[in-house]
Amino acid sequence: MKRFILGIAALALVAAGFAQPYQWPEAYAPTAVQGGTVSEDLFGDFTTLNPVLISSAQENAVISMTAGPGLVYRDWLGNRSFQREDGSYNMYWAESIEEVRPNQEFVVTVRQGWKWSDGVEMTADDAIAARTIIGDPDVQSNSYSCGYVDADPVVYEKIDTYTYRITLPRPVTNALAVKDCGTLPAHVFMPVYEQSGAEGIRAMWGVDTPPSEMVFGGPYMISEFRQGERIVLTKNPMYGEFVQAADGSPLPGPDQWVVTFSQDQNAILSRLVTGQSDFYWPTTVDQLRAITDAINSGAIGGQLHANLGPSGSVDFITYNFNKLDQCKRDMFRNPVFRQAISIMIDRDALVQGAVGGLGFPAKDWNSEAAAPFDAPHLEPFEFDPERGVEMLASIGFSEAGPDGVLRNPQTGCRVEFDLQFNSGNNRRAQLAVIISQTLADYGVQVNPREVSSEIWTDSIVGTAEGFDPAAGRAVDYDAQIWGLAGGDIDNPHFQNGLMLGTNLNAWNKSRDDFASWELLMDRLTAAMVTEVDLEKRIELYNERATLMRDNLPITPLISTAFHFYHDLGNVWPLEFLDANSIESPYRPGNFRENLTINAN
Amino acid sequence: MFVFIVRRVLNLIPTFLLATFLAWFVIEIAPGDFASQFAFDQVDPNKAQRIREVLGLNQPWPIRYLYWLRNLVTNFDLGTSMVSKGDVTTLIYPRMVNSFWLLLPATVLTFLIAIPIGVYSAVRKYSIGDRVLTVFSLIGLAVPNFFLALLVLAFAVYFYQSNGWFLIPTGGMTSSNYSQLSLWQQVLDRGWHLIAPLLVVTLSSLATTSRIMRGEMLEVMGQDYIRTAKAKGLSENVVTYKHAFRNAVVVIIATIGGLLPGLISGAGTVEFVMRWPGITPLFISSIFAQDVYVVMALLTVLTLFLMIGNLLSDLALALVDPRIRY
Repeated sequence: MKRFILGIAALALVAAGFAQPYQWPEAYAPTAVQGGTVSEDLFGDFTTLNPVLISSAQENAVISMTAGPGLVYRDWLGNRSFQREDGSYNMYWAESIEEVRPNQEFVVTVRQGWKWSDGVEMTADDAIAARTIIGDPDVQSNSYSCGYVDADPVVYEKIDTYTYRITLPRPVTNALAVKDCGTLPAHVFMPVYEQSGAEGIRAMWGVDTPPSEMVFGGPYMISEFRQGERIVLTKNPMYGEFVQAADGSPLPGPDQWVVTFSQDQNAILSRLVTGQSDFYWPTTVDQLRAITDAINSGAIGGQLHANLGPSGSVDFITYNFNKLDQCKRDMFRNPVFRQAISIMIDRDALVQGAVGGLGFPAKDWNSEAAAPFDAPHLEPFEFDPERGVEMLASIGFSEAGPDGVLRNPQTGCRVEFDLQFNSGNNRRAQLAVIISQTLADYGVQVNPREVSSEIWTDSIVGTAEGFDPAAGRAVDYDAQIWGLAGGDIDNPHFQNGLMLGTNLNAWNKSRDDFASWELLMDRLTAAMVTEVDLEKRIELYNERATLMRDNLPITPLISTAFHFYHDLGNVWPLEFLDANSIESPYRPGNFRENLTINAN
Repeated sequence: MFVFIVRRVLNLIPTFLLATFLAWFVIEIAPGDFASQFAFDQVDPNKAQRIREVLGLNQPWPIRYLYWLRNLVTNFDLGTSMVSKGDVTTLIYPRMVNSFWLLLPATVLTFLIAIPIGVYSAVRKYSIGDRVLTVFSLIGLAVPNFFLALLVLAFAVYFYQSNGWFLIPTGGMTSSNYSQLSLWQQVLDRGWHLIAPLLVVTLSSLATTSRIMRGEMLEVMGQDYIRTAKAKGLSENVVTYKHAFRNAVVVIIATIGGLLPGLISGAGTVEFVMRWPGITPLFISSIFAQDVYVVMALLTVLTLFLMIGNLLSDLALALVDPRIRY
């Protein structure tokens, strides 16, 4: 009997050991902000509360704070990776990760004692439920690709209650970050999925579902949702039981988070300058002025940081190498032509004229916000239009026609092209006009063309498959201003844009007719996709950036500036701010001990 | 009358089918589809094609229209939103109700103010009062309501920054602490938030109604029977309100049919600027996203309301105009 009691006591001790709360690593500690209510305005509205179906960036930002945990977490201010430089992971729900085959096969053991908001323990079943449901194409989840590498499935196998195996069909960089489908409360979702399939999942947790009927796994729970008005989050008490700050105190963060929906920037600004919201990303001079006035008048008391650095997106030009007109096709394909046009563009004038000085000349298709993938070795572009004229002369455009436009006396071809931009984008319209005016003085005729979004899109992605050089592209455009945002900041390989004939390769859809540098770019990009080592990926990126600078398939123009206002004390010290660093001040992992020490 | 109503109801069926078909056709001739927006997905390049297949967007549009119509007729199912993947009715109903709670009082207020203004301007034609009201009306007609909404918003901000408290809110339908308020406080809170958008919507539509009323009154006042009534020695009030007004207001009543869908079709840009959670923002965002089922649901409901409204309008006309018999 005594042995039996001792055995029970030992089991209880083991169980107590398992239930120890997870504490953030020593580097992370509570910030100055604790408790209270934080208000934020989001542009747009929510159309679902189902974590499987969320689609917009806004829904993702808010709902993910209520969703179940991931295996690993991403540093907010550090290396911006789920994986440290020594190859180890920033563990979150994962207790241990055995990498059986690098970036391809993992045996994951999750922490015990983590619970959903209804008190049910999280297990391997929750991860497998997420993979099963999200990976069903009929569910139409926007996270679908987490369950596949190209078209081949990522396989999840349960080993025991807390252990499961993830096997990718082939190695993928940052595999655990990009191929972790997260968790769903299996005890809630799987019975619906087994009974009603994808349709049942799509019908779950719509905008009319009372929050009391939902189950949450993140630091916050939805406590109120009013369509078109607001969503209110409150702390998930269950989460606080298994995740704590480094010193064992409760996790920092507000008790309540009120997110107000707006469909108009004036409405958002009016709330900010009357102290009704706590942070904001101004984009125009007028907005900056309104905030400055409000601060100066004492109506609001936060900190405005203007012109912090470039935003994550760069506006650039691409030319159509598949143009049906031979004069233009030969011209666009000639790297000297592209170099000449680039050197004739005054990027400082673009910054002043198109964005009122609130921007930065670009030197790569990625901005400095994507550091370390920002090609620091590249020099800024020169502005030397006379040199550009000489370069054009060197490829045959040596005389000015009666209209003043440079032309080739042998072929009769003229240096003239249409420069199109998407309708409604005033910044790109300004860029096109300034480029046109600048180059006109040097015998280059650029015709700005505003086109509908559909034509603009088709100019880039149309004819992605089955390109026929005789038929040309879906839109036989000349040149286009566009840009990219988002993507994988851990590895901006831009696989479907910089490889041969891919859907976002806007200049050349042909997989047969390409220059040697295009093939090399394709190879470097393919190498980046699978390269596990961060330093080597950066080397590959820089090598490719040099190649791109020499050949200019993409002619970078400018980045808009990044500005930020907040009224939250020391959460965001200035020295750590850039366009990619600000996600949420209260998301786990977003706390660094030195924040309060270095704050100014 | 009964036969007339039955005949009108039967006429609604082909009208409805034609209206929905044309609406679908117009949506379809726009370039691209819902999946087009995913063409730029860097993480999942095949997303657009996969979505097209899952949603059946590869099928010819007449086939999709027939599927949609079948579900509507047999199950009263307006479809599933491509954006939210959820039931369209769930998405649009609360927003239509929100628009209704703004537009119903605005419409009532418009008539309560515009009709007396129209009558006054007609009876005292070219008086100072008429001229002032005419200028006021023309300004109301000329100023777009989104601009008026911006001015009201700017005033709300200015007042707060000058005094430290809100005279009117900077948009929205309820305060952030709405759910913690008592029932009575919730009613007051809603009323307070209604002031600004109600003011803007009413001012914008006041001009049109009052000018129509003035014009009709002037026309009626010039009729022979009005002169006869005056010659009989009837008082000015009796001539104006019993004889002239009753005939002039027929035109306003004839427009009531169009008001019914107007009560739920949203207040347009006012809902954007003043953050009123009505149907307009959803309608516009659905058009941009080419979420065809949401757009069709709205158009279908509005078509139904328009047809019912016109029927009611015809019946109301028979009640006020003794010359009309069915």
